[in-house]
Amino acid sequence: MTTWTEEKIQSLVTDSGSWRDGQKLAQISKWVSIGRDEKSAWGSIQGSGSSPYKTCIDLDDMASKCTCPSRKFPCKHAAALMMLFVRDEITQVAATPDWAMTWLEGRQRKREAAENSTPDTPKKAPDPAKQAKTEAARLKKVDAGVEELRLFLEDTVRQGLSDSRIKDYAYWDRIAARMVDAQMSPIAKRLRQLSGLAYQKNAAWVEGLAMEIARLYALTEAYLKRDALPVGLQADVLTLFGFPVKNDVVLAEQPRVADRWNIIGVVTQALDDGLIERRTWLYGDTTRRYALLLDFAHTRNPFTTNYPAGKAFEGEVAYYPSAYPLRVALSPNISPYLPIAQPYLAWPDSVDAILDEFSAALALNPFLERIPAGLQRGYITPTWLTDPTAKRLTRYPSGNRAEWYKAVIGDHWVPAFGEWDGIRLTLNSILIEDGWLCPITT
Amino acid sequence: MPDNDVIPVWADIIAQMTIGTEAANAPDLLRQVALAATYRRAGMVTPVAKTPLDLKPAPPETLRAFALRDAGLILAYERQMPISLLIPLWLTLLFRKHKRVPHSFLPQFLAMGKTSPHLIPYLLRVLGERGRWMIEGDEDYAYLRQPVLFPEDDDTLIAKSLDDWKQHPRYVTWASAMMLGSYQEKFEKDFAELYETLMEGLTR
Repeated sequence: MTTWTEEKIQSLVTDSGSWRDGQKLAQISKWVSIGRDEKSAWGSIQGSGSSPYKTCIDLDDMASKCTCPSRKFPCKHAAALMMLFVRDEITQVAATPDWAMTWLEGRQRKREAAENSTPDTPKKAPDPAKQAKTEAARLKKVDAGVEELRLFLEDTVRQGLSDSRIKDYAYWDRIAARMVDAQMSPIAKRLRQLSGLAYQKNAAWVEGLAMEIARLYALTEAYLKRDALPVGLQADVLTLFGFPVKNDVVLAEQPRVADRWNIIGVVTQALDDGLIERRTWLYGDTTRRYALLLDFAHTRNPFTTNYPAGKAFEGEVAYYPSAYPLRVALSPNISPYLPIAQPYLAWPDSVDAILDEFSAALALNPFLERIPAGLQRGYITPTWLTDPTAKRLTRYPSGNRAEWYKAVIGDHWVPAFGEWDGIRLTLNSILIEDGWLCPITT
Repeated sequence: MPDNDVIPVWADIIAQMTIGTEAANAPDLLRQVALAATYRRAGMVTPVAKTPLDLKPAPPETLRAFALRDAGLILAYERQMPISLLIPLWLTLLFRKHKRVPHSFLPQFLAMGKTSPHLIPYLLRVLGERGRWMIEGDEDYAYLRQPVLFPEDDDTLIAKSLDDWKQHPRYVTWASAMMLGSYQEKFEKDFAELYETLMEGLTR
């Protein structure tokens, strides 16, 4: 079992609010009940709800579950429980509560299923005829959905974006619901996000809306002409329409890439309907390639794994098919976490190199949302990331203030990592003092 | 890169999108916006700082930072009586252990000098090189630009502080309960020393 320390716990709690609040709750007296066994720790704590929240952590990898409504992972209750465990303040008890046991057993089952699904263990081959029938039915639904979406987008543009319907949430919700029926959930999600754009205070909302509508339209054109596209881009387009590619298929069919992978940034983003997306960015020591671990969880069913930013591991990944491969499937057997190396030594020291890379990436996949962007030497303010030649990338607003940056970087050039979407940078982390990776809160 | 004639003028097509168009023109307008939007993203021109960056980097630290958790507690205690009375003693002990404020907490510790001016002499000794560099470079911290003057040595200061506490037995009970509550008797090393010094000194 991993030896957990307070520093390791802090690296898991990427949200500074959860860390701060967790510290306040890391007192035995705050908990209604608390206990642990060899594999887990659990407790119940009174929150703002009528009954106490139930929190449980798996001591193997510090995955957590809590019944509180927080969308943060780990939440402040789980963070507090982890701290109490690290400080050895939780007494071992004989009986694990049923609710904790149920969750732990569920995790164990998933782990076993994942192990059994490795390519080494042949699975029962699916019935090809049945599979073909299912795929044909799905394609028929999507084809119809694409036609409906194209008509909707054309009609929206015909009326103009100043039309009052644009500000009506129901206008977007209706078409989004139709897309769900057509089994095009990712498209439905993007349409729902458009409904709030018209209420933005920023006058640039018209441009944002126009661009996204046009991108969706171009995506439908790419779908209709997909047979003429390069294989990688075909895969990208189908993914954007919600055709799934399973992790185990990627691991079985794509070449494995072994490396010591540095965990250089973790971004957790709340989507609609309680869905949470987590983007864990890796950078290989030897391959000097970025890799993206993409996970999804729900407020009611949190992440079962944690990847601590600022650590590294040795293991194999397989890249999902794509015109510009970034997303990877991770082989289950990885080493214990190691100290992070110096990934930034291979990064460019000019923002122009990031922009050039983005242009090249868009040429391969015009639907790409963002690319990883590491800068070997950057100067950071709340508004900009500036390179040594004074060229800048504009940042999305961050919760950290100018004074905080001044204190943390001391007017030094520091390695920085973020996500560039062609318009602004989301800064994820900076490496300071002795290679310590400091997450940036947003 | 296509000719300029091929890339539509951005402002024109956005205006067209805003006011609407003939049904037959809608597909072409959407294609134009998609094309132009992609070129805008791909062809971003890097903004350049108006004046070159004139960085005066902070000197390297000579002291090690104390624990983030202790830093958080000191800030929390500052706002609570009577436990706030402990802060001078705590900062003195940290100074004697050659510890400094962790960088990420410096803004709050610098601000503490404004809200609690009596702490300034104690703070100045634990702000480290980075803290001093911030004070020198920012007029907002002018209130901290003063020499570190202590009339007595640290041992005398600690003894005096403990004597003061002995005059308020009720405070001692509260404070020790709060300290125990903060850590459930499993302290950071530096915090443990504070607690032990306090308890030993008070029972001596």
